[in-house]
Amino acid sequence: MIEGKIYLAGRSDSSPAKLCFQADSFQLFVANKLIVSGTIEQLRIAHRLGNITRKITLPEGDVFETKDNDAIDAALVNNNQSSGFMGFVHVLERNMVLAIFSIFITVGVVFASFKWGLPALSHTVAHALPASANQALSNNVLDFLDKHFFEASKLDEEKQEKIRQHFFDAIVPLYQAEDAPEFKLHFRLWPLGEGGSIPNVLALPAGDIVVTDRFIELAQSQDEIDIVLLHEMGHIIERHSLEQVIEGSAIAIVVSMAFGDVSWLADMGVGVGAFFISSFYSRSHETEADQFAYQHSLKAGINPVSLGLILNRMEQDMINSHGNACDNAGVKKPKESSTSNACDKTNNEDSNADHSELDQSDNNSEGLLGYFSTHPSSAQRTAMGKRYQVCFEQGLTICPETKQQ
Amino acid sequence: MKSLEFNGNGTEYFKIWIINILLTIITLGIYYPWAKVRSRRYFFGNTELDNANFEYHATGKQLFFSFLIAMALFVVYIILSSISPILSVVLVVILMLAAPWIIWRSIKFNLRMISYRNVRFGFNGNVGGAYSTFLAYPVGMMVAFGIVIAIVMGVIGQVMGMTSIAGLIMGLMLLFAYPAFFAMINKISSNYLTNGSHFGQGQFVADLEFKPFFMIALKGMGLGLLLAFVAMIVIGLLAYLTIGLDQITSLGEQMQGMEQGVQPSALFFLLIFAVYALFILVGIYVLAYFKARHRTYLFGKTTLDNSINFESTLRTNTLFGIMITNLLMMVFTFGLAYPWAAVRVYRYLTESIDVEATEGFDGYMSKVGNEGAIGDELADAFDIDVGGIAF
Repeated sequence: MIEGKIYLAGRSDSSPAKLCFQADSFQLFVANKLIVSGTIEQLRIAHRLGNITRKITLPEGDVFETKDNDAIDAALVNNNQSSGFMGFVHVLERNMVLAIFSIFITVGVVFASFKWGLPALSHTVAHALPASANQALSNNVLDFLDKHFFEASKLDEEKQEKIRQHFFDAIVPLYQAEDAPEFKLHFRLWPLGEGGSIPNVLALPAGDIVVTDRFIELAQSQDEIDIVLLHEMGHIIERHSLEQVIEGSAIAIVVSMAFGDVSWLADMGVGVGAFFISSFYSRSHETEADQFAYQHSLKAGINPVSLGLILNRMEQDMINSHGNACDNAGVKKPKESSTSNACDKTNNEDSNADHSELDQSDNNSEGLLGYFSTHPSSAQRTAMGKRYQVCFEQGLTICPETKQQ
Repeated sequence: MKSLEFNGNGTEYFKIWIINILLTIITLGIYYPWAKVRSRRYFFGNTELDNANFEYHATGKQLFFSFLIAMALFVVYIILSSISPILSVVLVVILMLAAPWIIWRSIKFNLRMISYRNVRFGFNGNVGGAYSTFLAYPVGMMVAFGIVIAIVMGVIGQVMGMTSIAGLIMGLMLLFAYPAFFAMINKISSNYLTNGSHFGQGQFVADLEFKPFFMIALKGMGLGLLLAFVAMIVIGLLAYLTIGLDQITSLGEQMQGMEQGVQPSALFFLLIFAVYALFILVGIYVLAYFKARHRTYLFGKTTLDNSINFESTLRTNTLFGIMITNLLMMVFTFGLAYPWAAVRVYRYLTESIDVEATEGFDGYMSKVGNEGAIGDELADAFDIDVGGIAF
């Protein structure tokens, strides 16, 4: 006998009732009088959920409800009545051990998909999309930068033409592919404060590479200019901007699914989390671009050590002109562009030279602030540079993949 | 007067929530609508009034279609917005035009999926009302305000030129225009949602006026400005006491430098963080204030079938306390405390609703014809949370 209440179909008044299961049939009593009977298959029994009141819809549409969930479940089990998939879900939900186990699975899956899954996915999607999708990202970006950041270059025309000529004759042909974007080289002055200017090189997805005057002034050899340009070409060819867009939207979808109900709460915490994650992606993009630059520098006979040299010089230049300007992260990047920039850390090389795994070295060297960094630490970059340096000295044009220290 | 009760608890909901997430992950997101149904059933099923509970009836299958449509639209929007800004604007405009219809279907669907004592709730407001509430009024008022501003600007410019008095008049206009706009939107949407809802054959009725909404908006804004001002002084004092004046000036320089690509120091980050945290506190307090005052007024004016009355006992300070502690819980557990946070805020929001039913709840009947055909269900299953607009 299961005690409960009976509602007539669609009506709000109720009376006390008792439900009785026998073998595969049921009987319903109101005031000790048998009202309805039939087989269990004729009943529509709500799936169990926690301990909320159970509703059982009778063949005529009347509803019996009871708080005695266990009795209902026991009756169903005795009758071999399968409660289907949702019954199985309820079994899962009751199990505390499984719940704790699920935390680990969930955290593990979330971590793995952000660390490996999402980058792999965005890489595949970014490269599966037509080149026009990638190029569309940078529509008007250069105009915007010109309006708000840049001034016309003060380099003399002759020098500009010489650099451009060399770029198209010697550097661009290093990358041969059918869908190779059409590269363009732009010279700009990026002013800073009184009379100063920023040394920087940035790449736009459509193939535009912007070189600032100060960068050219700082470069001491053709190799240094070339290898930085190769680094930027790496960003463009690997479609990093497009990957960033895809990664950003995937994060947004996942977050809205997990915390959809209290979005105001989520909004505040999530902004910070998403920032950590995208900094991590940004750092791995820089590493990829470095790798691209090193590999192609060997083919062209460019000394790989040049990249580290010029980056350090750019950083020193920023520090000299702007105090502790490079305290904790890379130069602020204009949206939709990838930069190889001046603020790569030099002062912590010894502390982490022996583990160059990306986030680990950042963590060791700079504590929490390392997670904010959009660029890998210079120690990490130096370690990779050294590996290619060895190949370069041996006269190899392809450096064998070794496990990074 | 009897208050609603909530019988769920955080630990029980935690197990449901984590299994929901696990199954959603395993099925690559397909389980999500079923997960949502289980969450809602848990919250409604544990909500009781006068020894009877509420019930949520939608099935995962019903929500699945709207989930698919929403996901597809989202993906299309993301792709369009990064490829062609113009096309994405077109999509937004189309969505804006369709939004009132979608909201209307969604309200109808969601209310019909809730029952109490075996009787379904429902919504019989018409689609025209949705268009005037969610499109014509907001857009119309913005346009009207723009025209008024333009005219006033023109007149002032003619009469006295651009003096500081003219600026003051403009500022005052803006200061009152925003609360007025906010209050008007609140009034008409509360009006539409409440008066269109029914429980069985019983109709909800609320006779709402503009003035109380305006007073709430005005006071809320004043409160927000006052608190923000106090917060600024506190931050200023703290900064002055801890780091001294010269460093503050250098922070100002850093701020300018940042626009030109210079990275600021760690101290700068700390200060930014303090400002951010204080303004979140102010924002949440104002939010709690609006919610509490809004409910008090709306519930006080609402009756069901002329025999059932409502009252809200929601208090700003209590709600604020719950929201802040929830936020901290969430931050320090990386979101794992979500189930407890959700249960706490839901419990307070429901248990602060008092209901007085002098003639009881007997005699209500579900409206006939509520169960539509399958095709109808598909079109109806637009599942958007619009509760936040009015309640």
